[in-house]
Amino acid sequence: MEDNQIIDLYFARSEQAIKETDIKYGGYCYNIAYHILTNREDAEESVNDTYMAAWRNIPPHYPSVFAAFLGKITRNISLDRWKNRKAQKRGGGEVPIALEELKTCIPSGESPEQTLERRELLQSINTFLGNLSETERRIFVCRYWYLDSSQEIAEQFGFSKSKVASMLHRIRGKLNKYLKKEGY
Amino acid sequence: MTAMDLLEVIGSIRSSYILEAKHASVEKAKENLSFCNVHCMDELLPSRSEKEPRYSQVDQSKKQKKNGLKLLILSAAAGLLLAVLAGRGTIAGWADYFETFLNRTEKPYQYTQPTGTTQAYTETTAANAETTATQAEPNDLEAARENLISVLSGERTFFDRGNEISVTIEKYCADGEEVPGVNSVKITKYTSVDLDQDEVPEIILWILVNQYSDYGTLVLRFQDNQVEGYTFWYRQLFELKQDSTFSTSGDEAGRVKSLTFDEEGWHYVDIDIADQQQDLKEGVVWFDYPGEDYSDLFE
Repeated sequence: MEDNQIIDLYFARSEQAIKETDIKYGGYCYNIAYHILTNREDAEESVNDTYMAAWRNIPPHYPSVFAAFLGKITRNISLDRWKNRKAQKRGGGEVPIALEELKTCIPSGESPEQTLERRELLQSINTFLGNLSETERRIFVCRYWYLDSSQEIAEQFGFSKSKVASMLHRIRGKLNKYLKKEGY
Repeated sequence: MTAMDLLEVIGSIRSSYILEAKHASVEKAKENLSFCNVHCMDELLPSRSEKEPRYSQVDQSKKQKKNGLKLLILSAAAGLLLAVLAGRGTIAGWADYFETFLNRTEKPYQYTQPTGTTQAYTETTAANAETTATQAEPNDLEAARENLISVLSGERTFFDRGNEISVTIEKYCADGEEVPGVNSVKITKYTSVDLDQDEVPEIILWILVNQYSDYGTLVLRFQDNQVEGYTFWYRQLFELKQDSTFSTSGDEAGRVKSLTFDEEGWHYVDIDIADQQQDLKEGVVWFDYPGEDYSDLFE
C-alpha cells in the first residue's frame, strides 16, 4: 500500500492504518529500536508506542516522508526508554518513573531558550551534514541516527572496520570544529 | 550540552539524510536481519516520483510515449553521454523535466502531490518529527536579501532541489540547454513575494524555454543559511498575486493556493476563495531579468 493511502487511513481513523503501517514499516522501526535497546521485548514495545504516537499525531499532522516520520518517532521513544532503563539500573525506585510522569504536566518540557537553541543546533547540524560528501554523510547518519555499529557500517559500505572508525573520527573532529565555530 | 543532547538533536535531522543513508545498504540489511520483517525495506526507499511532484508527471508521460518520441530519446541518450563525458551529469533532471513539458499536450494535466494533502505543517511535540517555519529575525531578512542578490547577480550558487546540485542561475539555464530539443533557456523576469508568510520574501524567476513562455518558474528561497531553488511547472504556480496566493490547475481541492516550505520541500495550502474574487486581486509586479541593480530588493 502506498504511504499516502496508509496516511489516509489514519485520517479516516481506521485501525487498519496501524496494520498497514506494521506490514510496511514494522521491520524498519523494529530495526531502529533494536539498535538502541538491544532487547527484543523493549524494541517491540517501542514499535507499538510508535504506532500509538503516529495514531495520536495523524491527523492533524500529515507526514511528507512517512518512513522518516515513523523512524524519528521510534528513535525518540527508544532513546527515552533506554535512558529510563539506565536510570532505573542506577538508582531504581519510583523517582525516574515519577519524573517521567511529571513530564506530561510541563507544556513543552524545555524553556523557549532551550527550544530555540536546539532548533539552531539542528540547523547547524543539517548545514554541516549538507557540506559533507555523500559517503561521509551516510556513514555519519548510519552511526549516529540509526546507531549502527562500526562493523555493520563496514559491511554495508564494503569498507574495513578500521576505515569506518577512522572516517567517523575525522567527521567527529570536523563537527567539533564546526560547532565551536558556530559558538557551541 | 551533553552527548545525549546531541544524539537527540541528531534525531531530527533532515528526512532526506535519513533515507539516503540506507540506500546502498538495504540488501546487506536484508542479509543481516533475520529477526524482523525486513521485506518492507525495499518499499522504504522512496521512488523519485514520491520525492518530487514533477517526477510523477514524468512517470505519467513515460507511459504515454509516442513513437515519434523515440528519436528524441536517442538524441537525449547521446546528449547525456556527451554530457557525462564532459563531466556534466546534472542534466538528467532537466531532460526528464523538459521531455514531459514537450509532451504536455498529449495528456491531460495530472498533478500528484506527494503528500496527498494540502495541509500546512503543525509541529508535533511527541514525535518531534518535523519543524515549522519560524518568524524571521531582522538578521534573517538581511542575510536572505544579501544571499538572494548574490544569486540573482550570478555571484553565488543556489541549491537546485530538483537536480540536487549547487548551480548559478547561468549554469541552471545552461544545463537546461544541454537537453536535446531545447535551444534556449532564459530567465526573462523576476519578482519577490513572501510566499509562505514567514516575513522573508522569496524570489520568483520566470523561465522561458525556446519560445514557450508557459514553462514555469524557479522559486529561490533563503533557507538554512543557503539559497534553495524549486522549479515549478506553469500549471503548479501561475497568476501570482501580491498577497502571495496564486492559481494552480488540475487539483480537485481547488484552484487557489499558497505555499509552505519545510526541510522536505514545498507544500500547497488550500485557499478557500471564489475564483472571481481571486481574479480581482492585484497581481505581482514583474521586473526584467537580468536587472541592472537589485539593491531595492524587498523594498
